[in-house]
Amino acid sequence: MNKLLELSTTELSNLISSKKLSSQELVLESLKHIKENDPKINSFITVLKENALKQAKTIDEKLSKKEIECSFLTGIPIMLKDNIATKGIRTTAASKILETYISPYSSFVTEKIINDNGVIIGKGNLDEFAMGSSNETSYFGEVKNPWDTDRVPGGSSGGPAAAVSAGFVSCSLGSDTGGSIRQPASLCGVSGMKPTYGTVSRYGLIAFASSLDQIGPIARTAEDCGNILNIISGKDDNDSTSYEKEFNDFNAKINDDIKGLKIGIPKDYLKNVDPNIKTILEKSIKEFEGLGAITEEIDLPLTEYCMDVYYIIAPSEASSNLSRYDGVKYGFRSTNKDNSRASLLETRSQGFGDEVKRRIMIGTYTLSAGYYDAYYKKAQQIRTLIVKEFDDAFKKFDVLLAPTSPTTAFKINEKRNDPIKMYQSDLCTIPVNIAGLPAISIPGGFDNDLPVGIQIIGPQNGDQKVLQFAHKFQENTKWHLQHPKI
Amino acid sequence: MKISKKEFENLSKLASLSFDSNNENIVSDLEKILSRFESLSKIDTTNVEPTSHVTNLQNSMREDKTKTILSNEEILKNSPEKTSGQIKIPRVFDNE
Repeated sequence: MNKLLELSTTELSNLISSKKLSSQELVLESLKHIKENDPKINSFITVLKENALKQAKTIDEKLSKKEIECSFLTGIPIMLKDNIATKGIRTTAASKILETYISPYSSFVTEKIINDNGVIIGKGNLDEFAMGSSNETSYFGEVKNPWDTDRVPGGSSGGPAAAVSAGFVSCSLGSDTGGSIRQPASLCGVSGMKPTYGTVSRYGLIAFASSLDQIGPIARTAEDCGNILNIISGKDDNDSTSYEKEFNDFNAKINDDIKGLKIGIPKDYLKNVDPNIKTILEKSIKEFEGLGAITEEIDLPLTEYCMDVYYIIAPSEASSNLSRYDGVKYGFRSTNKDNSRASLLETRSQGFGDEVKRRIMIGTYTLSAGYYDAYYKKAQQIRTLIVKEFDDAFKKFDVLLAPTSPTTAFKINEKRNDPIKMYQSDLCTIPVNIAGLPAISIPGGFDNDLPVGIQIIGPQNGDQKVLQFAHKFQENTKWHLQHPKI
Repeated sequence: MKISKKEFENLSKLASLSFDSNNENIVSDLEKILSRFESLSKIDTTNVEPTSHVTNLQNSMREDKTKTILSNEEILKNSPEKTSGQIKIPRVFDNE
């Protein structure tokens, strides 16, 4: 692999703006590497070869004529998870039901990237409708982990994380509903951030669980993540839950010292975590202490209920959101022409995979008459208590530090037939979505040659602080500079 | 916790999904998952307001102005079957 493809987005951006590298050179290298090696990984659902080359050429010409300013993503190849709408380009959510869907509009973030002259090089594989923790539920086949192709890359943003890890792109966009950016980032040895809920517009993100979904970057460094958030964040009239931040630079604090700042270590996150991952977390704690931070253990007793709260709220919202797939307006329609009810039933039964059906059934149950109060309302009330528990924690601590995933990448098929075991992959990431907090997963070490991520969690709108701690860690460690041999 | 045959059929109907007769796996998965939720009853939520979203935003409004976003043609482009500018679907009423 060309060394160029091991660089961070920030380094590539500097090379392009100082005219030491052209967009076309970079895009050609990326495409060559994708063509040779993605068949082993399957991280792309669609590669936009012609579009990307054409766009790179135009950008290089405009830059040389000084018709455009060089901004952070200018000329940089980026992959978008295939649940992010791209006008005129197939957008599938890795489902049979949207196999042939060509989006007639672009998402807010797609527009932002195009305006910044970023080069969308392809659409990333994912678990169907972002429901999964291993990328095995994709209609387009599982993604393989670049560190060991017998293992999963994590999910649901398995494609975007594997593509950065393998060097196909330096950055990608994923979406995170219960850990779908952070858990695959951890399993693939890259950096992935879920910003505070409301930071990035969800307009054009195919909805899974609307009160939890959030788009975010996957890249090589925390600094990359902050720079990408600077571009894709902001208030959008098409998403009433999006809002303008009080700050305009996510990376404004990354060079500030963390001496004397306080890190809470939630003990409850360590209960079901592999001993080797605990050891790596302990080493990270020492690293932060060496940088002058103060660490202390903290109890967050509601943590043990988060998974159950999540598996009520997320499927409930999903069962409602996915009722739009009826084979009428767009997408797959069964050949049954008897009557529209029969057509609807067959379309959905043939168009959705098993995991999506399972979640629609859970959500239908928890929202149905007689059960709504006992399940959905109860879960939302506990959500209030979870939010408060975090609020109290952040009165004392600047950030919390925890593992991202209870295990390293597991074998393909290992958990496929046991949904509860699979759901437990997200034990350490789910609480963050329930409370709408910002959190990043960054590489913290290796266990048996497989990457292990550590997770830094901040208070609502504490995205800058999360990035500050992550950047300081990366300045003093080399885990994020390791690359798999593929 | 057990889900009866009748309950499962009603749930499938509400979800607009059909399962073949070999549906033991999905029924047992649902039973296992729903059983877990019983632990939540241990938490006292008397007088606790439910949280449906976490932004603290209120009355997030925009001006009530119409705007054209997509043309009829663009909207219909992805429809599996259409005729004279409209979506075509199988008949809604049976011939009874």
